[in-house]
Parts: sequence; structure tokens; C-alpha cells
Amino acid sequence: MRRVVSIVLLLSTFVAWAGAQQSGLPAKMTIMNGNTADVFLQRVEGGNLVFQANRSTRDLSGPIDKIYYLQFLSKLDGELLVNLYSSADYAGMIQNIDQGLNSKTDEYWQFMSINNNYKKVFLMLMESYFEVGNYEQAAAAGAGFAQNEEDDVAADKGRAMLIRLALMQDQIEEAEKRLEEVVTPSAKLYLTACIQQKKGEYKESIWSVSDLLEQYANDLDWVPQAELLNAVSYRLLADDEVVPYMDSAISTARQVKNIHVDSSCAGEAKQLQEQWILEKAEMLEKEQARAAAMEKELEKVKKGTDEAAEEKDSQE
Amino acid sequence: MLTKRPIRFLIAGAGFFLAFALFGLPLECRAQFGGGDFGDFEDRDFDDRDFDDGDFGGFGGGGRNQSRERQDTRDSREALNRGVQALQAGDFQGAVDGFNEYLDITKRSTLDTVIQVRQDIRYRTARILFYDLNDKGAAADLLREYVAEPYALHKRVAYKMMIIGYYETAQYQKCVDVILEAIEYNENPDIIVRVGNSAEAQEGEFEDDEAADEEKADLPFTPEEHTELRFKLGQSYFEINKYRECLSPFEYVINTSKDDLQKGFAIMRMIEALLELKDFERISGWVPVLYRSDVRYDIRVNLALLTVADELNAIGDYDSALPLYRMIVPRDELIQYQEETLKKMRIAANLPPLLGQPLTEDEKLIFGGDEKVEEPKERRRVISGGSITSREEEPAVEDNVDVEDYGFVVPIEIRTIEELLEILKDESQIPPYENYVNLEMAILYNNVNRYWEAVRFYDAVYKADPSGEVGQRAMYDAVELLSKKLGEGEDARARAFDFLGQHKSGIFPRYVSYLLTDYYQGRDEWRELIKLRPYLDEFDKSFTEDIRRYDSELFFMQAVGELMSSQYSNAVNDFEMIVEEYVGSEKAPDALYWAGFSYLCLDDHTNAYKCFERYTDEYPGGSMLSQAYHQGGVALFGMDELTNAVNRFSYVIDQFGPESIVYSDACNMRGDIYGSWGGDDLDKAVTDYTNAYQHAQREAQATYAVFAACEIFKKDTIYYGNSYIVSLVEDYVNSWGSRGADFAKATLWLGRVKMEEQKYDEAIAYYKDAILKYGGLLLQEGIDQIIPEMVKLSNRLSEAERVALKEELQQVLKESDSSTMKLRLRVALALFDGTESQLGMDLLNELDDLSFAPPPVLDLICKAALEVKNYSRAKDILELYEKTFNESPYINSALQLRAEGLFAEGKFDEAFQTVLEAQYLFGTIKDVAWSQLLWGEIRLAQRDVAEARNAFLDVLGVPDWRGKPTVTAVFKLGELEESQGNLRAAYNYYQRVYFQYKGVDNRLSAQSYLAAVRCLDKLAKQTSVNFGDSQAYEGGRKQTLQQMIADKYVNIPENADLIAQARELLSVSDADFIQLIDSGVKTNIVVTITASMESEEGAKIQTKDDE
Repeated sequence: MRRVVSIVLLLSTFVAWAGAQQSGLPAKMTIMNGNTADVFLQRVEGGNLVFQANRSTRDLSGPIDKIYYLQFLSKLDGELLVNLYSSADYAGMIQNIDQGLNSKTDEYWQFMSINNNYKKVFLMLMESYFEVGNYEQAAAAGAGFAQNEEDDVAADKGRAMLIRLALMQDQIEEAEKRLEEVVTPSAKLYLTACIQQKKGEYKESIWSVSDLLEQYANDLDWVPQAELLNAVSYRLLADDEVVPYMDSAISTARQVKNIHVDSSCAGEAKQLQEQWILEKAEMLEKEQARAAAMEKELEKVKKGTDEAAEEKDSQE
Repeated sequence: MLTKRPIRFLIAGAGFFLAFALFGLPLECRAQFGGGDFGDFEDRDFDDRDFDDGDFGGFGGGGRNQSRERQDTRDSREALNRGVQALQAGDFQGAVDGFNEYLDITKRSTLDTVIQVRQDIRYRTARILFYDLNDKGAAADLLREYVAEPYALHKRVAYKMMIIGYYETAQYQKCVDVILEAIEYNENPDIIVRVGNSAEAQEGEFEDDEAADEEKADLPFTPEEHTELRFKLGQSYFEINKYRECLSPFEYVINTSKDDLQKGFAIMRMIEALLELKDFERISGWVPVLYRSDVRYDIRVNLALLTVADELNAIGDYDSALPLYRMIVPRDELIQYQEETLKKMRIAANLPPLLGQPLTEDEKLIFGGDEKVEEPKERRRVISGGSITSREEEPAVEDNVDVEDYGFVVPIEIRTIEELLEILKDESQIPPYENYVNLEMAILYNNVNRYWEAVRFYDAVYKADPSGEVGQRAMYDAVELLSKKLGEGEDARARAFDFLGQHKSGIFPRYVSYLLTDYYQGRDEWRELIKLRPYLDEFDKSFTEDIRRYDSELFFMQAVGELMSSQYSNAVNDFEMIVEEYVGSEKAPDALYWAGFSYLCLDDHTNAYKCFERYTDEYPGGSMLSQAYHQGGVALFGMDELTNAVNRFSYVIDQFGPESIVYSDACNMRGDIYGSWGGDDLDKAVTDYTNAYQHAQREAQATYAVFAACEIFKKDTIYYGNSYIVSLVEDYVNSWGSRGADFAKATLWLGRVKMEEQKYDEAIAYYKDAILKYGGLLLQEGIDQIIPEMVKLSNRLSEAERVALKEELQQVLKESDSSTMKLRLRVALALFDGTESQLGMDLLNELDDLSFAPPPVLDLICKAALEVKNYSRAKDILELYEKTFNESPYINSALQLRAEGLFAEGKFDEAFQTVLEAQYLFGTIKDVAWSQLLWGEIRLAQRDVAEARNAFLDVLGVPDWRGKPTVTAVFKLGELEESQGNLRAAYNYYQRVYFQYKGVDNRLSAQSYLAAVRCLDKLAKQTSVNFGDSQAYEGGRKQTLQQMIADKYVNIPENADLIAQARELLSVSDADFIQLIDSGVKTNIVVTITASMESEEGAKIQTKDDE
């Protein structure tokens, strides 16, 4: 506590000093006792936040767990970003944020372990990096969020990203290890389903998501992507062609699109639904061709008997 | 000063405005000026100076009128004073009566001053009605008069009170009117003209803060108030079913409200209205927005969600219904949430935190005991009864408030939630809904093809309520989904049997049994079907019509299963049980018919006949009447009552005509009898067969008639002969070719004709033609009979012709695209070369996909697999037969492979079932002897020695099983007896093998020699044996070994290992004998053995080695 008070004192001392050039990210910092100060964030270092007071070039530091909130001062158009994200325009999303943050986006990730006003946007950004294939950035983002001790959902979103990246590299054991760190039960079910799907246990994966839907149907932090995962599991099951799982996949994607309208999953679901409808049409075409071939075979047989009859008639 | 009065009234009431600023909850927004806070009213009477004549000048002039006016003035003054005094005494009703009397007396006055006072009195009276007497409807009516007259200084406040008054008294049309007026007025307000000197007025008017507040209260509506107005407008429209009109106000609320709960409630109402308007497209737009809100925790919204979700589900709008179902909060969770909320609200209102409980001592310290408490400063916003209200800075509550809780006055929003909670907790008002919701979601998932989610939800529902109707329905649906749509038969069966093991009563166990029955019937798995029987027997007996109907059908299908599984006696019992116990049921007539049929299968023709006769007597309109008559004829035929049988078939033929499904059968049967009589009756038989053929409805009827007629044509060459055969068979091929005609049999007949005519090349040409035409068609199994016939016939060809035929087949094999044709031709060529065994081995290794392999190919593969004991494909092959070649004679080897595979896996019961199936299909033909041997092996493995012994002995009694099966059985019997310590009997069995069957099986004979020696050794060592016998055994042992070595059938290279053992067993003293044998000397040893076997070969078998 004494340390916090000293931080505030130091802040108040340096606020008065007018510096010409100052590095770091401008933000309003609120600490646990409610005091606020305008600062320039430098870095996170060993559980401490290093910052400079306004108009000061001297580095100050304070423990992260004593910081209540950071309000970044750069301007981002939240509504536009949500629109870009929900329409699955991930590249647009990344570009827009990068412009808004003067190409300093990378510098922000380290501060995501502290609650801040960009959290939601950066969660979307993390997903966007993943979707466009920038896995390095996605991993950095995931690691940043995973450290957030104040917000379980954000931390689990970070862990989820790390698990998905591990699965992408076929590191199932690594994913299972990381799963143990996940806190929220709904996230745990979703990520269990991800791992099961990777193992080829599609039905089990759908069951895990179904458990999530039964127990936490209103937890919209995890339900949309979990349902989308089910759509993909059905599509993978459809490869067996045992039962009409292709219809299941298309229906599930449609429901994700219609029910979770403003989520990024909706955009992705729409794309998948359209793609699968085309695939289904191709499958039906093949099926019809096969049926036609059978028909032809039967026709041959019939023709054979007809010819025999004609032959008999001509003999008579 | 008179002019100041109304303004002072105004000032006195000014403090109200703030309390009302956000449409505060009326009961709690009690007027500050009510009950003693009336400013001037409090400390003075009205006198003549206040009501001088001039005030009532508006009533008109004239002497009599003047007198009347004076009287009115007095009356009005008195009425007003009565009102004020009553108010001072806290008698609100008395005050209202007095003021109303005043208003009535002065109602015709048009004088400005009177109007001003009247308006002020109206306003005050309305407030007393509103706040003190809680008669909001009357208050609203009075305020309507108030806003309609000039000098209404608090019009906006009045409008707000009116809106609340009409809304809370459910006068929604009036509420709509007033809100529209209020909005209009807000845009175009009156300009208030105050009477008197403005400076004076100003000085007096705003002499305190309250007065200033009152003035401010009539300021234009704030944005929040606009939102509130639209909310109530939407609600009122909704209540009077003006759904289209309510949309715009609700949309306004959704766009402007800062209260998420209110916003969510408005969306909910929008959806309900759109549902009424059947505007489903717009609903689907709003549902996702609602899904993201927290409004579901409102009790009424939560319950409304269920109704709306059900309606959307019913019309198939699944994507809208699903999120709404998901939003429905389970009762316990909702109660817990609301109780927590309530607790916080009660604490905020200085009430004990728990409803209906007196304060504890600690709580009294916190909340001040049972003293009246001040209203809380912070107010909460709640949605209650569809009314969104707020409260701010409420005045102190009074004693006469009608809601109390252990001495505490309870704010209305708390009371509302408490009442709703009571309703929610009362299951008689709101039955449990969580499981219903989950079931609906499960069904919905099923409907949108999300099958596995559906299964999971069905599971959850069943788990939550395994004995209730909803839970059991869920189980039924899950089993149906798994078995019918997902093809997960095993999972479905496991669930179903688990369910049936636990639930014995009600309709759902019957439904589930019905599903299983349907499942097994569809797959022809009759033996599996009858495993359901023990569960059915345990069902609680019920006499409800529905359950009895299901029971009769379930037992009926059990009986059918028994019939199809060749358990004819059981089938008879069950069919007869249905006839007796389910009298009048739909299944009773059918059961009677099938009981007769089952008797026929048991060759009990007498009882069969009785059943069919009973059927024709009791069910003259029965759907199986013609069949019953016909089968009665079959029974008579079986009873050797041939004349009666002919009469019966004639009756069927004449009575039911060619349209009957048994017409052809009856003709065929009668034809058979005529045919058996011979002579002139052969013509009658031919006529019957011809009729049967011409009117055949099924391929089997036509096929039977044609080939039965051919038999007569062949026998009666004088009148008929080969030309008839050719003509009829060709007609048959042409007419029934595309309807499953038996081409093979037809071709065989044609081939035979040609053979009789010694036109072998033509016969072969027929066969070849059929092979080339139909060989590529997997299901033309007749081709598989033609191929061996053709190969056999080819022996009659010259070598050159034979080679040419082979080459032709090889050429087709090379050119054909059809995998099936290729496989058939490879079989044909292997038969030519006698290399079937090798082909089988090749195919076992090379053929991964068996789906285009015809039965002979499968047969070769099975035989090869049996040879190398490779059972890996046994299950697949047998399933292929069951699905595709159900009646193929080649299935025998597949059954053997499967049975031996199961035996090797230790699955004895399953292996035994397969054995039974083989015997059911093939009886005791030679190729099925394996089944009887395996029967014995299985019983032996199950330690049922007596059964095993019987099984092996049964082999010896079947003529077709002589030869290798018999010798194997005898050897097995030897082993069995040896294992049981019956050494003499064992010895005799072994001896019988090498004496009697040495030419049949050399290897087994060699093994028997050694086994016999083993028995003699054991006998010699037995303590009960005396020295003499022991010597005899020793002698016998030596003799047996010598005989084995000298046996030319046994001492062959293949048995070298066994002979070596024999040599070793012989003592060194016999080295000379061995040397002798090895040098090529032949012996003439005579062996005499006394055997105790009871068989015809048993006693005193004497045999002599061949010279």
C-alpha cells in the first residue's frame, strides 16, 4: 500500500513537469485506491508496470495487481471495428486498428494483463490475427491475455488462443496441458471439444459442446464459436456419408449465422454454409450419376430379355 | 391578495414535481403536501373575503339569481372549509368529498378567478385521490377535467399522473389517448398567464424552494420521460391488441432507453407483437438482440419467453425459437436470482433481508427494530407487471399504506417481486418447465438435423426425470433417433434395454419395445427380437385400451419372431395366448391364422386345420380369409385327405377367383395332387399349373407352376415332351425376366432338353449365353448354378472344343469391365482346372472390397479362410450374405467360418446360435456336418459333457454325415471319454477309428493309435488293476504300436511325426521288429480286441491287417 501511495506522490510530482518528447503509450491509469493519473506506458516487467508520468522521461514502476484500470487514449472507431469483425473482414480489422494506433499495435499486447478499455477490441484483434494466419501475433496476444488475473474470461480467451495454436501444430498434449489452466467451465467445455475434434472424436466433440449448450447456453463468450465448432464436426462426420451429416453441418452453420448475428462466428458460419451447400450439390450430382449408371445397367438387362423375346418371335 | 391564492396553492404542491420527474412509483411517491403539508390550508379558514360575490359573477345576475348565487357562495365556502378541515384531521375521504362538493357547486362558473380556484382544487383533490386514497382511476378522470379547462398550471404533471392512473387501472385506451395528448401538449404547451401583479406574484410565488420546484416540474419532458411515455404507449397498445401500433413506441424505447432491462422488455414485447402480426422476418431480426440482453431474469419475461418460443417452434421458425428457449432461466436459478435481488432491495429499503421473517436482534440493531423507517435514498429500477417505474427522493410513508411486513411498510416494487416469486414457487400455478424446455430444444435440434445435440438433450431430460412422462418421452425419442436416423443400432439397443430393465409400467416402455421390435423386424433379426420377451413378460399388466393394444402387438411380433426363428412350439403357444387373452384385439384374428401356420410347420396338420377352420368361422370378413381357406387345404393335404384337399382348393379357386393372392398357390397345390394321381389327371394338373402361371402375382408362384409343369412335360413325353418345355420356359423368361425370374433354372431346363437331345454344344451355348448376359449382375444368383453345370457338361465336349470354350471365357475375362463378371469367370476357369482352393486363397488375400463378389467367390474365400483359420472377415462376409444373398446355398461356408471364429474367440453362445442357424437353413445335408461337430465342441467348452456326448453321437446317426464327419465324431468321443477318465470307452472309440475309418482319415487314424496306447498306459497304471490285467494292457500297448507302424494307411510320409512317436514308445526289445519293418518286411499280425461299445460295429471287432 505504501508503495502505491508513493507511486501517486511521484506521479503528482512529475505531472507538473513539461517534457517536449515522450515515448510510450499515452493512457489514464487508475490505481486501486481510486486515484488516477495521465501516464505514458513503457512496458511490463517482472509483474510490474513501468511507466512515465506526463512530461517526465523518468521510468517509474508499480505492481500490476495494484492497478485497477488503464484507459488508452488513442482513438479507435469501436462501431466500425465491430462491424468489420462480425463480417469476418479480419484483414480490414487489423489494418484499421493499426492505423488508429499509429502502427504501434504490437506495443499494446503486453498491457492486456491489466484491465483496460481496449480489451474487447484486442480480443477481436487476437482472433483476427489467427484468422489471417498471423500466428506469431496471435500467440503473443494469447500469452498477454492469459496473464490477466482480474478477468477470467479475457484470460481464458488468451489461453484458448494458445490451445488452438497448439492444436494447429498437432501438439495435442500441449493443448491438454494448457486446458488445465482454463478457469471458466464453459471455456473448458469448448476447448475440450476443440481437442476432441482434433483427435477425430467428432461425436464426443459435439457432446462436449452440447453439454456447454445445456449448462451455459447464455454464456455468449463461448457459445457462438462452440456451435460453429459443431458445424465443422458435422462436416467432418459427413465424409463418412453414413447419415446425412452434411445437412447437419449446413443447418448448424445457418443457426450460428442467424442466432449470433453480431459475432465474428456469424461471418465465418455464413461462408461455411455457402461452401457446404455447393459441396452438397456436388455430392448429389455424383449420387445422381451413380443412380443413372445403375439405371443403365438395369436397362441393359431388360434389353437382353427383350432381345431374347424378339429372337424367339423371329424364330417362330 | 385574493389573486394570490391559487398561486399559493401551486406553491404548496410544487415539491411534488421532483418526486414525479421520472414517473415515480405512485404509491411511494406520496405527496409531500398530502396529510398536513398543505401550506395555507393548514392554518386558516376560508371566509367571505375569500369568496366575495364578485367571484361568482359568472353565474349571472338578477334578484332571484343573486340570492341563489349568494347561497352557492355560502355552500361552496362551507364545502371548501369542510374539505380543508377534514384534510387537517387526516380524513382524506372527507377532504375529497368536501372538495368534490365545491367543484360541483362551482362547475358552471365561468369567472376566471373561480376557474383558477376550481382548477387548483381539482389538482389537489386528484393528488389526494392518487396518493392518499390510492384511487388512481378517479384521480385520472379528475385530471382529465383539469387539463381540459384553462388555468391548468401543472399540465405535464397532470398528464403523467393520468397516464399512471389509467395504466395501473388497466384503462389502456384512455392511457393511449392521454399519452398522445401529452406528447402533443409537450410540443405545443399553454402559455401560463398568472393573475395579478407579476412582481408581487414573483415575490410570493417562489418564496421557498418547493414552490420553485413545482414550477420547474412542468418543464418539457426530458429524453428519459419521452422514453417512458413511449414505453407505456407501447404497453397500452399491446394490451388492447393494437400490435401494429405498439411497434413504433417500442422501437423508440429500444433505441433510446439507457436501461438494459427496459430495453430487453421492449424487445420481448416487439417479438410478441410481431408474432401476433405473423411478421416472422422481423422477429428473426430481433431475437438475436434479445438473446444478448439480460432481461431473461425478469420473471414475467422469463415466462413469456416460453410461450413465444413455443409459438415460433410450432411454426418452424427454429432459429428464432432456439435462443428464446435457451434464455429461459430454470426455476431454481430464477428464484435464487430474484431472492438475492429482493434481499438487496429490502436492505436498501431498510427492511429485513428475508421475506416473512421477523427481525433478529442483530438485524434490529442494523435496521432499527420494528420502528417505522425512513424511505431509502437510493431507488432501484425494476420491471414489474410490465410497468417500468422509478422513484427518487420519496417522502416519508404514512401509517395507512396497505402493504405491511412485520410492521414495516414495503415499497410496491418489492411487493410486486415478492408476489411474482410466490407465484413462481407455486408449482400448481407454474408447473415445472425446465425439463419441458430441454425436451423442446432436443426436438428442435432433431428437426434441424443437429442430431447429436438432440441426443445429448434427450439424455439430460431423461436423467432429470427418468420416471416422468417428459423424461420417458425423451428416452423414446433418443432411441428412435439413434436407431432410425443415425444408424447407431448398438447404442440405441443398449439404451432401450437399460430403460426396459428399469421401467415396467406405463406406455413408454411399450413404445420403446415397439421401436426395438420395428428395428429388428426391419433387419430380419428375429432371434434378436425374441430376446425382448423377458422384458415384455415383466411389464405391469394394465387394462387401459392403449396399453393393451400395444401389448397385443408386441406379443404378436414375439410370436412372429419365434416362427421365423423356427421355434414353432413357442410360436404356437404365443399366437394362441394372443387369441385367448386379447379377445377382440386387432391382432387376435391374425394370431389365429399364424397359430395354424405354425402348426403346419410342426407338421401338426390336425391342429393347423382346426385353427384355419376356426378362422373361417369366426372371421368371415377377415383380411386373411382366402389364405385361411387355402392353408386349410394345405393342412388337409398334410393329413392325406387328398380328395378333401382338392375340394378345398377348388373352393378357393372358384370362390376367390384369379384376383386372390392365393389363387395361383391353390392351383399349384391342386395341380400337385392331380399330378400325383397321374393318368388322365395329368392333364388337369397341367391345366392347373397353366392357370397358376397365367395368374401368378408373385415370381415364386410363376416359377413353381412353370417348373412343375415342365416335370409333367418331361414325364409324359407322349402327350407333351420337350417342345412344351422350351415353349413354356421361354415364355417364362420373357414374361418374368425383369421381375426376378429364375434364369438359372430356366436355362438349366433348356440345357437339359438339349442334353436329352444330345445337343451338348447347344446346351453349352445356352449356358454360355446366360453367363455372358447376366454374369455381370451380382444378384443373378442362378448364374452361379449354371457355371458348375456348364463345366461338368463340357466334359462331353471334345478336348479341342473344351479348350476353345475355356479360351472364350478367358477372352471375356480379359475384356469385361464388370468386376462381378470377372470374378465369376475366374471361378469357372478354376473349376475347369480344379484350382478352386488356390483361387480361394488368392482372393482371400487380394479382394479388399467384397461388395461385388457373388456367392461362389465368397464361398471360395470362406473355405480358404477356414483352412488357414483366418476369421477376420467372417462377420463381414456373413453380413453380406444376410443383406444381399439371403437365400444363397453358399451361405453354409460363411456360417461355418463365422461360427468357428466365434468359438475361437470364446463366444460360445453366439457360436451356438450360428450353428443352429446353419441347421435351420440346411437340415442335415452333408456339407453342414461341421455344425453338429461344432455343437459338441461348444458344449464341451461349456463343460456340458452329457450334451457334448449326445451331440457327437448324433453325428453317427445321420446317413449323410458318414465318412469324415463320422470318424471325427468318433475320435472326439474318444477324447471326451478319456478326459472324463472313462479309459475303456475312450480306448474303444480310438480303436474304432483306426480299424474302421483308416481309409477315411489317415491322420486321425494315426492319432487314434497313439491315443489308444495312451489309454492302455493309464489303465495299466491304475491301482485297481491286478497284475494279470496289467500284463495284458502292456501286451496290448506293444501290439498297438507295432500295428500302427505296420499300418500302410497310417505309416505314410504325412504322418512321419506320429510314427516317430510310436517308434519311441516301443521298448528297446522291439528294436528287432522295427528293424524288420524298416527293411520292408510285411507282417500278418492278428489283433484281437474285446470292445465294449454298444454300436453295431462295437462288439468283438476283429480285423486283419492287409497282407
